[in-house]
Amino acid sequence: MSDAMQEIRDSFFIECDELLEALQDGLQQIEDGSGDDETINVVFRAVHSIKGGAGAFGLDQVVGFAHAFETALDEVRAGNLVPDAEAMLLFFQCGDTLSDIVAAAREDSSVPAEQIEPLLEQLEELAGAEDEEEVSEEDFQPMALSLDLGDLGDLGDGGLPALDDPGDDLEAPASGGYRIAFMPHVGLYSSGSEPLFLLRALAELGVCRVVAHVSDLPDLGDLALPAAALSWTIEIQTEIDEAGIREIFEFVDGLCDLTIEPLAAAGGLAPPDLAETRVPDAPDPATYVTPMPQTAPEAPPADPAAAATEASAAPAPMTEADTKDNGKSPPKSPSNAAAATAKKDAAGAGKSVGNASATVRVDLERIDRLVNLVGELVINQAMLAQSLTEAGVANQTTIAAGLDEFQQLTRDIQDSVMMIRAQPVKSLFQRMARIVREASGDVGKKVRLKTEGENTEIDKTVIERLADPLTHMIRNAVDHGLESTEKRIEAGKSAEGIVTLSASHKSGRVIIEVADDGGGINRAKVKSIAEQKGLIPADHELSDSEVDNLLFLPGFSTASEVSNLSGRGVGMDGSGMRSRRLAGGSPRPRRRERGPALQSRCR
Amino acid sequence: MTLKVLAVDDSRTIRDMLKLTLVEAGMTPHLAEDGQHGLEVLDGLDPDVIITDINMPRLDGFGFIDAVRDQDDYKTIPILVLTTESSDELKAKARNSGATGWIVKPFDPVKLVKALHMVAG
Repeated sequence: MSDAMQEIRDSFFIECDELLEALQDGLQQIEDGSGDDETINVVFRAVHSIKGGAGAFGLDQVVGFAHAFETALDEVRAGNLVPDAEAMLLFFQCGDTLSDIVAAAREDSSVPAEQIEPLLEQLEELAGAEDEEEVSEEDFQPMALSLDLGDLGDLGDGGLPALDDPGDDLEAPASGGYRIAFMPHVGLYSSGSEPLFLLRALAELGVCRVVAHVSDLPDLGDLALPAAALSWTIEIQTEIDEAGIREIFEFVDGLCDLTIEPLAAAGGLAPPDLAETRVPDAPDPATYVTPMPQTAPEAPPADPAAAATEASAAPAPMTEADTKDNGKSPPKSPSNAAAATAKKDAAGAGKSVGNASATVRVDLERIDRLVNLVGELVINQAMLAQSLTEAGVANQTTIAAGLDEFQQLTRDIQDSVMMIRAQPVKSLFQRMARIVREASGDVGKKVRLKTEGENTEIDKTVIERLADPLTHMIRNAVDHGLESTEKRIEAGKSAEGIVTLSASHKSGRVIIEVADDGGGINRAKVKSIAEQKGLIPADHELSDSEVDNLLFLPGFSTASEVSNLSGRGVGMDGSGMRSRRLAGGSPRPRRRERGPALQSRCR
Repeated sequence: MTLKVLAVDDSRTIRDMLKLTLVEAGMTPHLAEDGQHGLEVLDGLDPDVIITDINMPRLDGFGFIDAVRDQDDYKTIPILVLTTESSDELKAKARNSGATGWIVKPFDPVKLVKALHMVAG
């Protein structure tokens, strides 16, 4: 893969992250009922764009799954399907799995089929049997994109051969060819097609003799636009089959009368039917008969400029085999090299492209280097201030003023640089939504994650390190914090438990809080278990907050059974340890009116 | 002749690929992120050919083509539609919307450039 393609591939995965975030956002809005008519389109486009990009890199698993997913979403978009809770859960699961597949593809890997197949079956069932057929059609074929345009030969630089180029070699082979009658309708012109370019494309395929029929052309004064008064008969000597000829006319199918007949084997190129070529006052009807040469490629001229000239006068032939087989392309024609200047111009023009975007993508390593340098700057500034103080000159007015300003600027630079690396916690919160879905499914509880302050920004590296402790906290909230559905109903609560994840700024710190509307901490039970496990002496007096903090002791768990989710007394201990690393303090249990909350503070 | 191409697609990846392909083929690309943006870029640009995606925010490909064809200067400009499907139904829809032709995504750069020359010289 070329460097340019590798760059685009990297950029594709960054775009995928953004699209997956938009997908989760949109699904959440649909579920909450906070979206509008456009929301399902946003969701659909997110999956569609992932599919489109993935196809270009031959990421088959991404393409296949995204295709099935978007087919079901398209049903919703078209109004054929109103997703119920079950369908929404499936969409969320598909979003999670698509995220896994993309992550695997980024590492040139794939997700096990057993994770994907049940979802694909459910999607197909949801989309309906009719659409299933569409899914399996060859409509969208992934392929690895190669940007080798070598096969284009001169086409890449000079376009198709000029129709009126005279050729020296008009000797045609004795057999193999077609007579093509081509009569455009008005619609052909109004759709933006141009017969001239089609004729030029034909000339790419072999030696052509073209007869223009102008008998229906009205006088200029009578000409009313749009009009279609011209037709052509083309006799082409070629080894290309009829399908190859028809391919030229693919875009104008239905917009013209087109007949293609094999030329008589013995006849070669028939003489033009001059009887049809009637032009009033035309000095010579043959003026309208244009032989179109197909010349053999010539030896590369020494002068690149000359090569460019030749490119338009005598194009290299492009055969069907050439166009189909990128890998066996001949070396680029010299005219490609000759067009370097034009390419440079084009590249220059391309630089202005994308100005609409107000953001730039910067490699994280570069930012880290900047952060480190600014850190050095801050230290140096402090050392300088210290040296000046020790030298007894720091109080001199001009030095003190300069020092103050230097200190202020240094802080401003540090804050600005740190802000570059700051990111909203939204992506992290979205990951937690998945944890809630999976955990609640495992323990058979109905749980909804409510998020607050998801646009709060934290340093990217901190966000990454928050994922683990938050996962433990969330699982704990779902497994232990929330009561079973039956108990909730008995207690007069809604069947659906709510876990709230919030982020906010306070006194220069970011407060991350996980709360649930469960029954709260049973302190008597906590204390009793701690005593049983020998974590505290029996009958030891503890304040409420001291009892709460027992939750973070290694090995502590109130769970009577060990489940897949929790019960080994590792999660909260792990959360506490990681939180201490991040912020210098354990998560703090916080009393709430309904259920407990855990706060994690980040600098 | 260097073709001036306006390419409209909401996917950054596809835009990057289009740009790379067009520059590689000696063409001059001008890119837009959706139909609305496409109309803004088109204003005064006078391209030789337009390539547009269909599913886009703000203004989709069909709306964009309508708006382009409404302008006297662009009634017959060649417009190629980028589509992920090659169904006859979609081709017919593209044709009815005023498109000149279609390119199936993921596009083959060679075929894309060939198609561009086919419709724009």
